[in-house]
Amino acid sequence: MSSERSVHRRVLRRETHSSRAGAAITVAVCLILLFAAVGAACVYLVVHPATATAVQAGFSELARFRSALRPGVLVGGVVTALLGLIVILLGVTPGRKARRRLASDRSAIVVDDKVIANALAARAASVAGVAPGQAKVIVGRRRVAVRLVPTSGTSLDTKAVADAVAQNADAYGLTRAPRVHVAENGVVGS
Amino acid sequence: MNSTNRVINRIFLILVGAILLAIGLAAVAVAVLPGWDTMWRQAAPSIQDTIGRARTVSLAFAGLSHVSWLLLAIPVAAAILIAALVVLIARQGRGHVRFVVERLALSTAAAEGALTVDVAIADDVLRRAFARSRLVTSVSVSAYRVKGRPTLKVTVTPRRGIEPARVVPELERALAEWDALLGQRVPVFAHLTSGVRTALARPARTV
Repeated sequence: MSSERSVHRRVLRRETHSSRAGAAITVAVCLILLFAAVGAACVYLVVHPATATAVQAGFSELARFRSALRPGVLVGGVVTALLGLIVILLGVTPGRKARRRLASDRSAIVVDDKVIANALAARAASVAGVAPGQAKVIVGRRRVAVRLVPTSGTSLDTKAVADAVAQNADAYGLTRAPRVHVAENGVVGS
Repeated sequence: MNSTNRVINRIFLILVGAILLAIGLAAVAVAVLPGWDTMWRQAAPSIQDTIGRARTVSLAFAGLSHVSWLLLAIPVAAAILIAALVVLIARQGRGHVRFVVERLALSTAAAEGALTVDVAIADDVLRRAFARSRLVTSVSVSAYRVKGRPTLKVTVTPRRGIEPARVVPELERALAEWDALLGQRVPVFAHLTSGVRTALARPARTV
């Protein structure tokens, strides 16, 4: 039986990274549609042999317009190659989710970045002395960005806000100094 | 938490991506590089020839006099590939279980038997533990099999603006209560979420 610690480790890793299930399902569905179309076309040609001859003749005809087809082949090739590159990158990149771990002895804890952002926004608003809706926080992988909308006619102590947010963000591994941006136009105070 | 085979997903994506990339680059090369163009022009007739020869090996059956085996082989291959892809899709997710403890052997003086603890009990106990909480709006509990062990998944939605670190001691207290009640420890995964569906989460979130 695997130890609790090893179960926790595995869950933490899986819950902070994408399973790529969505991408795999999307690609699989596209391939199913493609294969179904090709299969159906072949069955149609079996049932209607005359069409097969016509299709073959059509392809030979097409070969005579090689130079005219060139731009189309080029564009199609570029699009296909780019699609392939995107799909490869989906397979290779770690696909980190916007979540992070919290320390606990008993359980494996993961917190959504959005929950942290909510908490930091509440803190920023209270330090700045504005209504909760006037502070917005974006939590990135390593850095926190704060956007404040001042109440018209008052000034904001951005240094105090930055310090308070930095102090709270530190607990979540967000160690870089937060960026604080104050909107030029304030809102009427409530 | 579920037992999606992530390695297979990634191998599948890399494989399909590599094939698309190769086809795309080959098409670009044929369109742009004169060398590739001539190569294609020289190869085309022989490819056509091969297909033509395959077509002439025709089968006569069910009243269809000249059916090429190629036209039958392609749909069969397509069907096999489609079946494999359907299996790939069906294998996503899973690993969900209804119990926390499975058939624990019990023997007392009076009787012998086995005990299974339903996840609904864990759900009830942990919900009650958080009922008085001022930090948390909702709690839900489910269970998954991870590395062969039933593992609890506790989804906690803190009140908006609550510092998540403040929820941790409360969670540990609730789990201690649960551990004492159950009499054994099961692995626990706790997810602190903002309540909105986070399945499409991006690296940066706005509030």
